[in-house]
Amino acid sequence: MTPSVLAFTGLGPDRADLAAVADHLLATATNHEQSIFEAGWSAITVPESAGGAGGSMADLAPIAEAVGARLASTMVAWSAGVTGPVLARAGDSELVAQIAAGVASPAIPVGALWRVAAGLSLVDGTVSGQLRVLGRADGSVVVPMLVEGRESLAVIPAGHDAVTIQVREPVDITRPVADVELTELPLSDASLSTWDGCFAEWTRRSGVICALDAAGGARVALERLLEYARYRFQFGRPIGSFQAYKHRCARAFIELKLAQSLAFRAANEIDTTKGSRLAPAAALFCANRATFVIGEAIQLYGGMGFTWEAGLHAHLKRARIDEIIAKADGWAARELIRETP
Amino acid sequence: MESIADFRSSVAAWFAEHVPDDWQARTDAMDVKAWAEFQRDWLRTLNSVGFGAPHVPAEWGGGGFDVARQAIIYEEGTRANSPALKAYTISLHHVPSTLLKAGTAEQQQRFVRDAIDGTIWCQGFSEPEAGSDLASLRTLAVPVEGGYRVSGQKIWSSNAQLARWCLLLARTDPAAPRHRGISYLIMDMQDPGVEVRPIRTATGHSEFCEIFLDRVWIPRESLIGAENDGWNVAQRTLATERGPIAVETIERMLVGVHYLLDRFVDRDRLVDSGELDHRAMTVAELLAQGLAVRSVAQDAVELIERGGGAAALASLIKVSSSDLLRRSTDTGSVYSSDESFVMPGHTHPRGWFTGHEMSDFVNSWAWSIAGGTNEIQQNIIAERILGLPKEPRLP
Repeated sequence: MTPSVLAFTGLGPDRADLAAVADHLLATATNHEQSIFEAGWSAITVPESAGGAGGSMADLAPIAEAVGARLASTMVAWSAGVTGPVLARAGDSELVAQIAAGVASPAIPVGALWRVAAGLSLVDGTVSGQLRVLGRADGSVVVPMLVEGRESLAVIPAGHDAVTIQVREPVDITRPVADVELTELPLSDASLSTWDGCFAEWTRRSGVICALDAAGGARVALERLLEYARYRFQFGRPIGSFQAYKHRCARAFIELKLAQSLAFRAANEIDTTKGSRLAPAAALFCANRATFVIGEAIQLYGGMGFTWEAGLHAHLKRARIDEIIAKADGWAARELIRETP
Repeated sequence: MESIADFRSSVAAWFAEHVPDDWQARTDAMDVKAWAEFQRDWLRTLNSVGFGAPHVPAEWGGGGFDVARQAIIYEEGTRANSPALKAYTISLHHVPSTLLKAGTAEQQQRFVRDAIDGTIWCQGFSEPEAGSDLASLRTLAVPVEGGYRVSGQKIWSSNAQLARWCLLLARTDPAAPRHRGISYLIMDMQDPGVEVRPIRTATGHSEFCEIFLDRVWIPRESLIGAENDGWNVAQRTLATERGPIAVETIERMLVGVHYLLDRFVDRDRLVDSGELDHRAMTVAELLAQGLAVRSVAQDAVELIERGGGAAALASLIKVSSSDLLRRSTDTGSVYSSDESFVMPGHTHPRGWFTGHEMSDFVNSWAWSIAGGTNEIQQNIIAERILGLPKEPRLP
């Protein structure tokens, strides 16, 4: 009964079914990426002309939320929701086809693209510099650059001689992190997509994916908390029966529902004029509220909540990481103000 | 039927043409009565196109619009700064939803259209000893020949000083268990046994009142539903799908947040320098929070449209919208600086968005306390939605 109350009730019947299927699949799968690929979900948002299902972010959203809920690899949701669509606009059909086929999930920069690009140097047709990336960096890496002053996204093969990858120990144990160093990598060896506004488009979409991911994590954390609140007895009664305790559960529920609603609505409207406001709003709000909800779950779970074994820490860290990425050095706040009439 | 988009355009155009210019400045000096008359005139203008009570069937004086169109009317009206009809909340919402569901044909004929046309009603529910625990109410309706003699006291009754009729809950069977001895009645506020005393609130104004009842005569025909079934009747009829009306409330709050943006954030500087100062950051967070709250209100409307019930969202909407109002006015009252030191000029209560942030901040407790306190709402969420166990009752 309770899990359905925490699930987002604003999906139509088809997407609600998809959400339930995705949640179950990812909760029981041993290899998340493979399961998602076999279900055909890596191709959801890729245009039909590029070999995908031609669906929208709205179609991907329930899967992205489930990915977050089950702490699955984010990379497929990212590739399907951000990398694929943004690169498809520039016409990189080969990479997009690979994404649709579930073969490519490029690692992505963790910092705001403008800052990362500004930190790289382009000299004589080569690029040098450093960036930190999220995801497995053994396939390829997306690197933002300013090529002759124009915003560009380069997909760089990790095995290239000019690329050094140092895998780092991540705070968020559910997603790998690596530091990438480029030493005079020839631009001609990278797949370059150049179009004005691609940084903003990337950041908009990644903000929504982060919002959904974090909202999913918050949902599961709260589900676990409610279970605990009902069976944990102290002072002769279930601790969830104490008013102060249950009020905090109610407060966490409210914040979860606000985050869910805005995240899904932003996904639905990603390509409309409403979306130009909803996307940065979701980036600013959802993962932050999700982090709060998960924090409440830890607190109200007592000593056990603080253990590594309980696993709530994993949700907390992931949601906070989502928040940092989504806010993009203040981009979300500035963009929201800019887009408000 | 015209498309939703066309409907929205025509509604927006209607408001742009009909909302009186500078009405706020003109009405500032009005006393409570004159302000109520102003609202009544505006209500009648709205009623000419069915916008006064868009959810009520046209045959009763409403607009008969579907849920999506109701939401549009509330949104566009608020964006056009349409005067809020605070004197008519009960008349336009509680009266039709109660009488059209549970009233007799005679009661419907006599009261519904008249209420929507601009007769002020109030509610007689809370008592000094029965607030959150409303079922413990003590106002007694003693059955006599042909009706009841009612004595007791009500409190927090909005607009009682102006009201012609009252939706009253009173105890008709003191021997029955609490919830089962209560009846729902229509009370004539002009009865000689009714005395109304306005209560001065924290804002300095008197938007609600105490009502003292001394053997007030209520005929049996004024019973709504069966005798002693009043609690159930009230629960059922007041569980109105509040989706669309929540849209108006939240839209007004969003207007307030936009007002903060216009007044306190230098947008050009933000765009040019890319620097986010503390105020811009705070306002951006409020905008995001506002869009989240509005999103949930829209979810409720969409759920109702799909044939579902949005009751589960009601408590959530109430608490989250009151949070938004609190945070927005909290912020605005500090940013308003010198203006916060001086009382604004108007002499009548003007609701939550007068534009004087300090007044609006003080008044924001009206929303977190009224309509079921936020604490009660959280109990409802925790127990009825999340399924957490109730607190054990003392024997």
